[in-house]
Amino acid sequence: MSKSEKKIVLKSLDNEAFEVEKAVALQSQTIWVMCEDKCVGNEIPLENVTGQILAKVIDYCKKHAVVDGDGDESSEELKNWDTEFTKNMDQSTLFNMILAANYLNIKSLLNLTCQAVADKTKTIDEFHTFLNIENNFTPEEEAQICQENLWAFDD
Amino acid sequence: RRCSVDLPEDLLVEILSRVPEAALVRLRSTSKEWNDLIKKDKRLAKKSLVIMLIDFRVYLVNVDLHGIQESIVKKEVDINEVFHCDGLLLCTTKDNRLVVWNPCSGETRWMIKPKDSYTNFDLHALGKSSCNKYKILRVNHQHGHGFEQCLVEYEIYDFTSNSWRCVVKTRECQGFLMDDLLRFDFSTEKLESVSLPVNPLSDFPMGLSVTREEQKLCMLTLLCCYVRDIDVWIATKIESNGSMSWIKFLTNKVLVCRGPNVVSNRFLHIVGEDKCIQVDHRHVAGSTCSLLLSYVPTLVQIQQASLGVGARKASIT
Repeated sequence: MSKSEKKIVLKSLDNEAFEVEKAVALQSQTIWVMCEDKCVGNEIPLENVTGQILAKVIDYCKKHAVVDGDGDESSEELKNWDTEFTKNMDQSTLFNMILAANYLNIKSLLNLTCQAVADKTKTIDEFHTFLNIENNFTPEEEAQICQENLWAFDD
Repeated sequence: RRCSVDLPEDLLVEILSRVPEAALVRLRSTSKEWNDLIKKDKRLAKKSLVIMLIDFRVYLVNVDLHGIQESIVKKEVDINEVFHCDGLLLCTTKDNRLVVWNPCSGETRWMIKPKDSYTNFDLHALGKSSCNKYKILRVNHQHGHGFEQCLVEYEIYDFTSNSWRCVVKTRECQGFLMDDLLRFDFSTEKLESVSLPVNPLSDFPMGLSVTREEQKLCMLTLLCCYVRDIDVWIATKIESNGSMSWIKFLTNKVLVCRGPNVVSNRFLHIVGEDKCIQVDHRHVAGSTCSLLLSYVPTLVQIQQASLGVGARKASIT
């Protein structure tokens, strides 16, 4: 295989180009299908992902790629890396990562980012702020839910 | 508004499916959209929890056809028995006390002792009247047990007045064979017997449970001569004369029981439509599970004496 065949160029929504190893990019099922179908050249346009988010996705894929015997990181180490990876992401970055992972069809990244949101919202108030939920029940409906025994906390 | 990104519904479900049960219950009360979303989504609604009692500790176990995931619920007392009704657990402790507990919110309420303190032969049940009031039923066999008739008292614990009162006194014969079921109505506080689906001489009634969605009564019976033959019956209708209609359960549902013969203390046996798996719970060798209950977490409050839920709510709003 020549060098050019091992590399692939991913182009973001805002026209940022990233040259990556094919093995890195192929963790995305979406890209894998595109390559299989030979419907794209060496440059793949990703219309739903910005450069800022794509850079992070590529970071993740590089870490998780098994390239030429390079993939023998211990699972413990990888787990810690994952935790650090999502730790300081703000809400909009995390949501965009979820959207990107979904669009690119990278199961493990989708799992990681969804879990990160779920973990960041340990209390109900955090959930409200994080997901911008408004309590839009009328007092009567609230009483109804209370009847169903689902509304019942007074903190 | 801070949020600039809107996630589509299926991705919200991805997130919610990773949120602990208790938080999910709370979320339902926060907005109509969330309530609807959680209610209609199969993955979220289908999360199935069972309660196991292992070595006097209560475990919440997440069950699906891939296996189990268990977590201990912290409780500083040793628990002998657990009874469940609509999210609340009634526990008898090793030191003969009664406590009502919501493992989801952590709220507890200790009950005062009845006039005769608890004996090993006491039976307890937690139930709810038609106006949503929880009550505790205590069945007290006055004179030991054996084959003679003995005096049996049915007592009700009233959460509001914080006291016990006797509702039914009967003389019952205690035998090996179970020839009917006793049904206690927590609204009328009356007792009646209902018919069994099987002949107790050939099929042994092993246990009672309720189905998860419709909360229908079901009964496990064991064909006496073949230890592995289990039938599951579901009660469909109770007539006014106490006769009950039963249908035999055909599996398109999931059944969780203790081992293939329903009596194992070491395994959970999960029977699905075309799959049956056995899971060993990860515990210290020799630990046994003495109880298995289906559980649906809710945040229902335990009614406190003289201060009802309504009064409490009013005081904080």
